[in-house]
Amino acid sequence: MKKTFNILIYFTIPAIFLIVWMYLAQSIGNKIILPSIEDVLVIMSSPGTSLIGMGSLIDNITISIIRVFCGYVLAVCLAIPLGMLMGYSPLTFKLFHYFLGLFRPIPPLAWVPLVLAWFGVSSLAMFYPFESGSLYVYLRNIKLSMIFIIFIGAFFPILLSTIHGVQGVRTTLIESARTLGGNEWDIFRKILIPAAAPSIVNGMRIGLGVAWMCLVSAEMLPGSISGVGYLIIHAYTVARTDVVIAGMISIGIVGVLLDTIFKAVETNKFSWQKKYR
Amino acid sequence: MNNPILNLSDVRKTYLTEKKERINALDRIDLDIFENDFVCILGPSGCGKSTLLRLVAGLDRDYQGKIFYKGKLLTSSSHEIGMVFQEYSLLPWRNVIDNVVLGPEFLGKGKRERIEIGMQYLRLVGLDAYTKSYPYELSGGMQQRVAIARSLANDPQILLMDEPFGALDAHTRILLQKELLTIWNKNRKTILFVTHSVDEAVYLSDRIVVMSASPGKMLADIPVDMPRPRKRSDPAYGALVTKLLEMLESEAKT
Repeated sequence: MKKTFNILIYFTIPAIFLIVWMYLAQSIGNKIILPSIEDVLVIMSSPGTSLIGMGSLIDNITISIIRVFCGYVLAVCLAIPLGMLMGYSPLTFKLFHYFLGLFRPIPPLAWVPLVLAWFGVSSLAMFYPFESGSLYVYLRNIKLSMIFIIFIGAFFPILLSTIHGVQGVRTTLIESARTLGGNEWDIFRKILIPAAAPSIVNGMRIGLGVAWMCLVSAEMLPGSISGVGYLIIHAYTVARTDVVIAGMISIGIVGVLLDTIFKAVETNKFSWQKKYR
Repeated sequence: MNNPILNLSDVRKTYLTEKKERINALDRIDLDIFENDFVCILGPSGCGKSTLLRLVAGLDRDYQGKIFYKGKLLTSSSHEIGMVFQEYSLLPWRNVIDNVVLGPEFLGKGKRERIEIGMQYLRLVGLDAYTKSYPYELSGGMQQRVAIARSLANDPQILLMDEPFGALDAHTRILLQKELLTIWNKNRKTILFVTHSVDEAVYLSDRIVVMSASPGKMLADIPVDMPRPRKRSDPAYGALVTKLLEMLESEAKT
């Protein structure tokens, strides 16, 4: 009894939402303003079929994920080492903190004009020696400008969490390691990294969320001919609101899935942190 | 008498406060510590006794004067000088055995040898049944026992203890004092033990160095010639406690 009630609680709001949607769609009666649930469900239930001549939902999501991955990996590779240095060495902190602080409030979208001026429509394909083949076509879809926008979005959350994590390591832990004969490298590897890891992973999780959110704006950039972000924009221009909504739902689902992976890592690996004062 | 294992000669340390005032944390400390001695440094809070210990541990190199370890000038931390902190200093992401073997791990010992050493010292502190537990699963007293085992696993020549039982309740504290003496009897190290508890100093040590606050300097150096285990009901014990308390009290008035 109690169990069914608990499950019901989770479904109350979504159910109300769907009922309102259904009612509104019916009373408006215009597919361009608000398509019915069934229209969207049809698209979602066959994600492999091609839509409005732009490839299937799955194709577009795949290319989007690859793009996010490129920019995100770049952000992780730069933000974590820099953050660790800044957290540990006050000199490095002073050197970078105020300078980088100026860039942090700039929304990733505000970089678009500058990024276009720098990179134009050049893509990863410019690093590929041949101008043919399926890999070349794929690489041509990954524009440098997109990678940059996603990189900017993911970089700061990861950097700040890493700095915060390293600065938060209790000095007693570092000093006790030192009196046990640990050298600087030992302390870095065996004390700082594991102690800061929960905060770093949390930053990576937030960064991935932001990176995924920057995707749509990145895919609106000129030269883009694929990706869920582009699919949505293009569907709008051909008045296919059902495709717009299906694309939005896909973005949401992928975002939740990526977040869940990180959450699972956090609860599995860092259970010590909750109980630690 | 043989050479001291540790020699402090005219050690001074000054702090600058936020208002740029000069505070003498330590003033003209001359101290010889001999091998296998159990020495307590007793003093009120703020007398610089913990600062003194940090200098010997090599954690703070900003001081005047000289500290010699086995005749050589002390310049950095060394695995030969171990330290047990007042706050819990175990790595929360490592279980008990992995915490205890941290020192041997830093020294590059092989895995099997490390575990062997670790188990030996966990047996010594009576926690060999808790090897796979995590620090947060242990009580405060157990955590400090693990910290002591961890320091001993490095086989240090000198063990520095900075109010290691300060955060424990009175009962656990007395229990651990007893246990520390048992360990020390089996495994004679030179111990330099900082405390503000007169009772703790009299119960544990061969020698008590009394310090006064602001500026932190040495007030007295008192040998304790009572057989162990000492009884708190012994008149000589009470007399020494009274004497030390009076000494600290008169110092606090001036």
